[in-house]
Amino acid sequence: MFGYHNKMLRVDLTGRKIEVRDLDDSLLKKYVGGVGLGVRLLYDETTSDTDPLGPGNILTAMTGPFTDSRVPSSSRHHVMGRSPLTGILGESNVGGSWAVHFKKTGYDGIAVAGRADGPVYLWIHDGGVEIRDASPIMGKDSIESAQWLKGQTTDKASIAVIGPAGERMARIAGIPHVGSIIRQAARCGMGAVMGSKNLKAMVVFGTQKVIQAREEDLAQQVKTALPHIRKATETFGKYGTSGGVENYEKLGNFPLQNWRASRWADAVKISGVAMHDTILKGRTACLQCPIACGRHIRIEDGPYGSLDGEGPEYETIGTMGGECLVSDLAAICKANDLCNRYGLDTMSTGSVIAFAMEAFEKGLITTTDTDGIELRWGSGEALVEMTRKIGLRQGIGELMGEGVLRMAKALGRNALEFAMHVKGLEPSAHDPRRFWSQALSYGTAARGACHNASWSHPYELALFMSEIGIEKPHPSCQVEGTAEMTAKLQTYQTMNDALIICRFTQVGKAVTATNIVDWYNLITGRQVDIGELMGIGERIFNLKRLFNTRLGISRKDDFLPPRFLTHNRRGEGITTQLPTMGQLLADYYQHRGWSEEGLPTPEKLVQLGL
Amino acid sequence: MRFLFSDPFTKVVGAEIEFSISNPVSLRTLINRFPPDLIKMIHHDPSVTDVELWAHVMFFDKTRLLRLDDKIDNDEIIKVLLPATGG
Repeated sequence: MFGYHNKMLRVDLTGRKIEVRDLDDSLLKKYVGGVGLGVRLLYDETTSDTDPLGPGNILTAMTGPFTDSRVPSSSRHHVMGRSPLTGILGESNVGGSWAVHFKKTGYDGIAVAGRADGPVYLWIHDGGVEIRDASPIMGKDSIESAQWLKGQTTDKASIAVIGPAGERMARIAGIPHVGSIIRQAARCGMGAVMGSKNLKAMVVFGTQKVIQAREEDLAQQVKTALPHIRKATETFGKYGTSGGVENYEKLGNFPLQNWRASRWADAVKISGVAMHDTILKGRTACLQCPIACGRHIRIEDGPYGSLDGEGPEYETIGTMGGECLVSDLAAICKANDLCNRYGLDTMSTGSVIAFAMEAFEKGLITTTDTDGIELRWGSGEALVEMTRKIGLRQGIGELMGEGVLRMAKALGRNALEFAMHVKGLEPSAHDPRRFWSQALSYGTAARGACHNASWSHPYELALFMSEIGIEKPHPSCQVEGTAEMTAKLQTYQTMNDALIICRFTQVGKAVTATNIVDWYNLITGRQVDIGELMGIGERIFNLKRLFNTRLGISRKDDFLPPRFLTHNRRGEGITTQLPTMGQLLADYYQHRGWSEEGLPTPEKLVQLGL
Repeated sequence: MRFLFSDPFTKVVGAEIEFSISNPVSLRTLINRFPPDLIKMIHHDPSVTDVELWAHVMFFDKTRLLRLDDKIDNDEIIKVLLPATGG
């Protein structure tokens, strides 16, 4: 099919076997790419007995038909595997340059199985695939490792490389992708899966061009759309994803003190505006992205030394700043940098440190446990030092690297009451008490408390999408209509993760569903409408649910932690309400065509061709 | 009525702008009276839609995100913030 190389790699590290598999048209039509191909493989090649950190798990990295095309903000890929953090479906969507450089090697995706008998890296290029020795860089951080790997291959390479956290299988380890910028496939412990396979890195560089059906027409359409995209996202790009921190804080959406506080005047000190006015050196962009929401920061000197590199984005600011009440931007930047180097998910890291701060306050852990570190709310020093301990798995960092749920179970007593997670995944920095579609999506997203599954909070505020039946922004904190809107957006975003295109193109309706359909048709030569693409999104979303229900997931697991359901926020202007999850879930299952227990019905599966 | 500005808008217009209005008028009408530098900063023009404006700036009364056609009374205080679009 046009828009693909129509083949993928499968690497078995145990037997050092490299296989090229054809991707036939029927598979590509049903699952498109990205998350679609990833979940199909994961469902077919693992069982309920597969150990997430065992050789039977597979790690997939899939591109989509938009990858390496003129479509803006499409230099992304979808990483999947059974999650060692949650035990269920794990997935992480990541930008940067890796996806484009990988696709130019002549493949649409890769699945890695087995376990190497010693540390290795994959070198994937035009001439083939090599399994090489990675011993010299074991224990090195992602940036040092990438420098060495470029020396062994080419300095043009893009590199997915784990740091010490992934090597040591911290369950909150991500996969830093190092090219000219760094982006992480952070969520769900995919870095630990790589570590469990003795796979230190996947180094890619190629020059092969994928053939598109109507490339010139696509180029013309994108050229026409670009001025609007640039205008719509100008403010977002200028101040970055954290430009809205002050707004979110006033709305009651910004997470504070492990989700228990209501207002925080210091939020302005760590916002995108503060960053812009103090330490911002420039903006960074994933390949072919006109938005450039990334931050290049420079801190000349300070308590954490100098820093010149990637700055934190909104979710990092929310979890490491708001959740820990740390208003020291330099400390957050340092902790963010350590996460990039060690290969840690900043969101889970910030969340588990906030949890530990509350445990410290309640006397469940003491300075004896923390090697003398006072784990006080607001301590930038504690944030940085605990990040270091987690990344290197030192002292209590060993336990914290297991994530909030496992740490709470280990601490015992009442720790589970303030352990903030859904299905074992720590929440994004969006409060489900402010946006009920967010509550519902935290509950029903395949990977746990994920805001990206629906990315619906902007649609409860300012966005709409007539093409899929969302005619106006949806009123917040009401049951009526929330399930339908959440399900529609989950389906739409799933489709975007198959194609693949960044969520942020939806800011200001920079890119519309109509654009998406047109571009897919021009690339593939097909003639589909939005209904058909939404049908594909629904099929993939249901297959993700099936993967989880096979592991025992059902309605009982779709609830939120007690604090979200029993502890409301107070303060001027705050309009949060405790989400009525029982009713929301009942409506949602009905809209999805699932049983009252949250299981896709046989009729629904037949309808979706599953 | 008063507009209370947050950063970065304060750098252009200061902390607040006050207008005296005898009858309720639309938010759009009031924005049209903003200083030119601010209008440029928020990408406002006569044909702008709500969603286009909300990509650059958001106006809130006590609890509600305001639309361009919402009527504003003389005793109201409107907070002006960068949009909540991130994450």
